Amino acid sequence: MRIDYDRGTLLLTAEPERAAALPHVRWDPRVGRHRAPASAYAEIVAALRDVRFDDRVRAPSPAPPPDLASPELRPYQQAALDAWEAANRRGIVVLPTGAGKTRVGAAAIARTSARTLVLAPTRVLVEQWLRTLSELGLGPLGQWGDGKHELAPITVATYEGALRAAPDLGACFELLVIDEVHHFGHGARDDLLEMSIAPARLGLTATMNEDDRARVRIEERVGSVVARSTTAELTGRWLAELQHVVLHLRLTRDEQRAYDAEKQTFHAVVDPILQARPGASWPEIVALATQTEAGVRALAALRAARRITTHAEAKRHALATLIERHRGERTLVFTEDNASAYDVARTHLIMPITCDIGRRERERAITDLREGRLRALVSARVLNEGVDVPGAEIAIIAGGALGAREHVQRVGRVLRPAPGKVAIVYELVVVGTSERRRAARRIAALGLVEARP
Amino acid sequence: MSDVEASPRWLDARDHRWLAALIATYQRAEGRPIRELDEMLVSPLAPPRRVKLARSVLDDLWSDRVGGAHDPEHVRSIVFRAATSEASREAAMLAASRALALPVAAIEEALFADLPSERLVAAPRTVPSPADLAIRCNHALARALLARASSVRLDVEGDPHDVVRACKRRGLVCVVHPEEHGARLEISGPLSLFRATRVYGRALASLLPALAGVRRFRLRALVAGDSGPRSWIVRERDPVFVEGMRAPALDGEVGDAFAKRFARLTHDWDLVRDPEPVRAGDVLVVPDFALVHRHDARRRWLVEIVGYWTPAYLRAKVDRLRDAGIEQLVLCVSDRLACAGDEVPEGAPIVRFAQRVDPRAVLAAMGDPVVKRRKKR
Repeated sequence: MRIDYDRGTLLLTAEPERAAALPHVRWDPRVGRHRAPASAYAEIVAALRDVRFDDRVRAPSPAPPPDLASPELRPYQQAALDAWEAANRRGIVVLPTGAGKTRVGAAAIARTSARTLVLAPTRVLVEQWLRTLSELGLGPLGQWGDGKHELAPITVATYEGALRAAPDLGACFELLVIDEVHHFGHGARDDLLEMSIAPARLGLTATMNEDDRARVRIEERVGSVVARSTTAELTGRWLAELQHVVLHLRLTRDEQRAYDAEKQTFHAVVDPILQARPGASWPEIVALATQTEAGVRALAALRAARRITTHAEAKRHALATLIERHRGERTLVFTEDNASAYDVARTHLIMPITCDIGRRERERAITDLREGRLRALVSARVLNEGVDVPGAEIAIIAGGALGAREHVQRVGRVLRPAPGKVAIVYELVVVGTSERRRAARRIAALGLVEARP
Repeated sequence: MSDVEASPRWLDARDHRWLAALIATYQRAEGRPIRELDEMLVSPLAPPRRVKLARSVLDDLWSDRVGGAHDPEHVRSIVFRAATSEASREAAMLAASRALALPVAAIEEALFADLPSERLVAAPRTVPSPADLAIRCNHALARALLARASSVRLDVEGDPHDVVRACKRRGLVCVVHPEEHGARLEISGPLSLFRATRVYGRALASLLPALAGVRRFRLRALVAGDSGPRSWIVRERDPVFVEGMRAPALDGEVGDAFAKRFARLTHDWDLVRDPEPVRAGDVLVVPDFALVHRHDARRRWLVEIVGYWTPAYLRAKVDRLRDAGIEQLVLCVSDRLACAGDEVPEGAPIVRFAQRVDPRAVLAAMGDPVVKRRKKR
């Protein structure tokens, strides 16, 4: 018997009965061989442990040196790494932003000394990983994606770069470290995990996917959650002390009337869909709604309703008051969308960090904030994930569209510890709208209990 | 393949009126911010999906530019830093005004002039007619369907060479079944065996231009949707090919370079591009070249440049050729495109190459290693 790697799959050359008995294997009439997804490699090898076979799967790429020094870990990081080891080096570690997920990933690389592919969602995060791994003395390091094609024993890649090269890269690595793993679980990105032979897999995230089906799919491809710490568990010792303040605001009478009308238009279409398809995901609802003119109008009405809460007069006033109150402290303002971020930027002269602002300018702004040349930044999504913004003390959350996961990440931006630091997170919530319900879910995700107003 | 088949609703003469209105709106927006163009198009001219498609095509044709004479990035760096040290917005703007030697109004204008919504609309040199735009939209729609497909069945009348080569270059599995007047091609990626995947969508979409030169074809793209799988049909008579579109040079550099170097190397052999395919069992083999000896036409060899390969794939191919009695065929395999291992089947005429196929090695594999150089004039 022989097994070869073929563009994200395994091709088996063997007697048909023997090959067919192996896990995940199917007959491929296109090429007259048995085939399995590359991700089945470890299981197939385990099933063949008493059989001699010719293993031609692993690409001949260099391995890291065997004596990589493991970084020093805090107790909860060490416990997470141990749990991952105990789960046969597969699984997901859930740690709040600022709690040192990258360090856990680096320790896993050092512990296994395996050829490793680190996957990160953006180029900024790829560069951050490379910097951290280099500082910890791990290497040699390579970068893949966004025009870079350097394969090294430890390679850091963007999701999209790795996906495009998945047929070629799938046999090159034995360990996958997947940063912000909650982005997986649906769509073509999952193929990236299926096309890799890597038996060891470590997923890192601040919050797992809220969609149950996506979560199951991630766990099938990476492993179950093996360790989890909440913000509430780590604040005060490993993360900065946190004051979480929810400001309950009201729409004006005219705003409320307009809001209710838009929501009625929305519910008139979407409620029947939900009755017919209980448990349908949001993308499914959108797909169904966009098939009719009324459905398109309903989705537009939802956007209009959100605009009303986003631009509510009470919210604008509250935001202005808070920005003024904390003029002397480094502040991050989070908005629902880019348009709102530019509104805040223009009104309060706060530097926006959005996808429209070039990388060089964004990096300079973050440096300016760190060094005191800027007092605040405003962002809709770019600051949500991973970007290291040390020193910020105040977060004002004026709106958010992505739920609990986004919230945990945003709060984490101000939790990086410093002596005597108390971070304050203000959440502006318009009562009498769907913001109220969404805010309750977000607060629960932090492991906090919302104080009654 | 799914039983649910449908043809896309291609844009045609019925759509020319609203397409003309859309083009006119783009022209009216010349020199104005994109935000204003969006506002001008708030009332839908046609069903939103079609307008969205047409706008994406026009947005590719049109360009935009940053208005004003001042660099927004520089203005921002001065203004937001001033806001950190000054007590109010007004004071910050005045400080920035002094630093930049610009009036406050000019600073307000320049502050975000480079944002996508603030950039100014700039028309292309040649504005498409409504009919042109309809075809470009259809082309984009067909590519989008292919990009979402997990597999494609293509019935081709006539010569399928270009399409087969296009598949090969893109690492797709293409099984060719000869038919009476052409061939049926089953095109998919290796992982498609297990589930509908869009990972090969980009490669499948890029096949469309290769079909521009095919006399007759019928393409079925299998697309998995929320309401189950569906097959979309595209035919040669559908209005999806923009005038002047040609199949790209699918042989690429490797084949071209080989042909040139071979012609320079020897007088004794003629090189014929794209010879007739040969049947090997139930599939067609599509060689890239035939090499025919000038003084002995019986000495005719075929040369195929293989895309991604594995030893198992090559062995299967060699066995299939041998079973079909095709012995005078040289397979050229790229080390760069090897998927695993480094071994090729022994006893078969296989030439390995890194960047370019060496014609000497091919001749040696054919048993004609004695090569005369052309005399320089």
